[in-house]
Amino acid sequence: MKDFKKPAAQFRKSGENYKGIKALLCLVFVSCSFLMNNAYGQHSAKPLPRKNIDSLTSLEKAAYLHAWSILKSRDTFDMGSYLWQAYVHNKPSIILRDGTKAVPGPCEHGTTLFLPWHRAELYYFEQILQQTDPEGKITDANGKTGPGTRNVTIPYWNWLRYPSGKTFPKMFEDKSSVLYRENRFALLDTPLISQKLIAYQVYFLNWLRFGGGPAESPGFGDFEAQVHNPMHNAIGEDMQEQDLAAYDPIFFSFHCFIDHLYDLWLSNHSSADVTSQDYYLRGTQPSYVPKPPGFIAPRKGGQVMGQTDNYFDTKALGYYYEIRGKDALPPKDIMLQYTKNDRQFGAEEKSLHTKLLEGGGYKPSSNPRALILVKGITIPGDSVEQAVAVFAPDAGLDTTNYQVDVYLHPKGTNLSLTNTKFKDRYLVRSIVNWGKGSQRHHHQDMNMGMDMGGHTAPKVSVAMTDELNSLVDIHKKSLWVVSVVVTELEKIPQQKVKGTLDVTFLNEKK
Amino acid sequence: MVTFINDILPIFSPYIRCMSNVQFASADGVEPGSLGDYDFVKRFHGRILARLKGVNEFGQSVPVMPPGRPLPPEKIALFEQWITEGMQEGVPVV
Repeated sequence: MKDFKKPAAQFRKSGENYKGIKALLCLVFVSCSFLMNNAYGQHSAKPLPRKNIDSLTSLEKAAYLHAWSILKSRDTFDMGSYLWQAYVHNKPSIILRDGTKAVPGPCEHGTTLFLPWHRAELYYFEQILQQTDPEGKITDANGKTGPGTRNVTIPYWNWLRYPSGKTFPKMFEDKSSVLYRENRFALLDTPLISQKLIAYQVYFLNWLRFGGGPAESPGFGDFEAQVHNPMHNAIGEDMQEQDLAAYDPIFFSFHCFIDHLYDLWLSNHSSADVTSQDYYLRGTQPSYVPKPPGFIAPRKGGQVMGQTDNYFDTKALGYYYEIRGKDALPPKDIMLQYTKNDRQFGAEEKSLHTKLLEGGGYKPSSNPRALILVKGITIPGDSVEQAVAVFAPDAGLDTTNYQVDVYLHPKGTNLSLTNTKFKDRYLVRSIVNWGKGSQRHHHQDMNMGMDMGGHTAPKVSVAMTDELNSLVDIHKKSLWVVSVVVTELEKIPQQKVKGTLDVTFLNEKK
Repeated sequence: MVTFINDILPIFSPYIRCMSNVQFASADGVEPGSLGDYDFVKRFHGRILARLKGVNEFGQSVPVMPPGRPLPPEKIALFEQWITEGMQEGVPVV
């Protein structure tokens, strides 16, 4: 295994010779966008703000709902329809009316392409919304004519703040609204994710840790595993499954805020650190939507939404994020206190991860039905390049959503799920596996008559390198214990999670 | 010497049809999975290995393939050996 701390330089870009062509195309595109109209009316050349959904004006709300209403009334196989746009995320294939197979998507997860792919999807979705009724002359299914949708943008749902409605922003709780979905959960009475955790990840994690493994060595980044996945699981029945998530209109505002966080990471780091940035982003979208700046047609294969590096500049894509007041994350200088690396793990009452979770509803599990696995380790004599705890579900276990909490503690101290002081001190990290529906998501044609033997939920790995290395000086050769708590998250558990725990060290440093 | 035709293809054969439904993205575009094709498997060997093991080289987890049951460790080790030995195509053994 390679070092988390060093960006995988060899994975940044495989097609350097395209760089000059892309720059030229980008310049041409930006210049022409001020002059050209597309077939559906004048495309706004000035970037538009994506706002908090609770701060939309009455006119902006009406325009957004009008655009959605038109989208929902379009035929399923119209690429500008709500259903097709959901298919872009949800489905790897679909049979058209003429019997041929189309390939709408699906989304990318567990790889460096995760954030760029969803940004591309939102770009196309927003463009389609704007082009539903730019002049405000169409009467929608609700009997409303207009307003014009030319300046519609996707409003974000800041799920780090208390909701304006009972559980979600008010616009999503209106049962008469096109944005309503009745199978959402009523569990989010508090922000689930802590602002401090998000801020720490955005400011201080490198791309490998934040965004995930390169395309040719895929793996979940911390943001996806610790933030995105728990949120999906907590919102509703559709959002809980990979192949249903985008049917819920809240999906787009949820991911809009995620895109803002991606934007924040880019502004605090360098886009050059993003790996596989010349990789194409799969998706079949309407041809009338302007391609992103710098788009180059692929040399092979099917429909694409462009490449990762077409999507670094939001203003070139026609939007920016309006962040005001409490929508802003804690400032970087406030978060610096959490980066001090002179701490010995377990010496303070609260571990770093415990402190970062404060302020959010997400907590390590206290569920008495949780699976607990324990493995003894010996603290090495020297620091290691990598220390990872890996939970491997038993083969054949059906895909499920579960939470994994990893603790590191001295031998002789036993994990107790009700002992808050123990958990606060020795919690290394807590993540969620979002796996429900993933089998159908990527292997749609499950009526192929193949006995795949069920599905194996993915392994979950948690890095504990810094924590382990902090113990070397004082506790070398001592016996410690890694305890992992695995908790089912589905409302009606289909199968009890079973599996094994392995802890691996890589290369003690000399 | 491990070869694609004689050693790797038999391992992947049960999954060729299913994986043809998955679009693989690259710097060239997107294309359907083709586990029965030597060139395809050679090009995407890193990604395939990570999915077989369920963990990438950086210790990050990723959904394991095949989706039914993971391959036995010895078959994954054989695929890794094929990579280490230069990913030879080989010729069919008569």
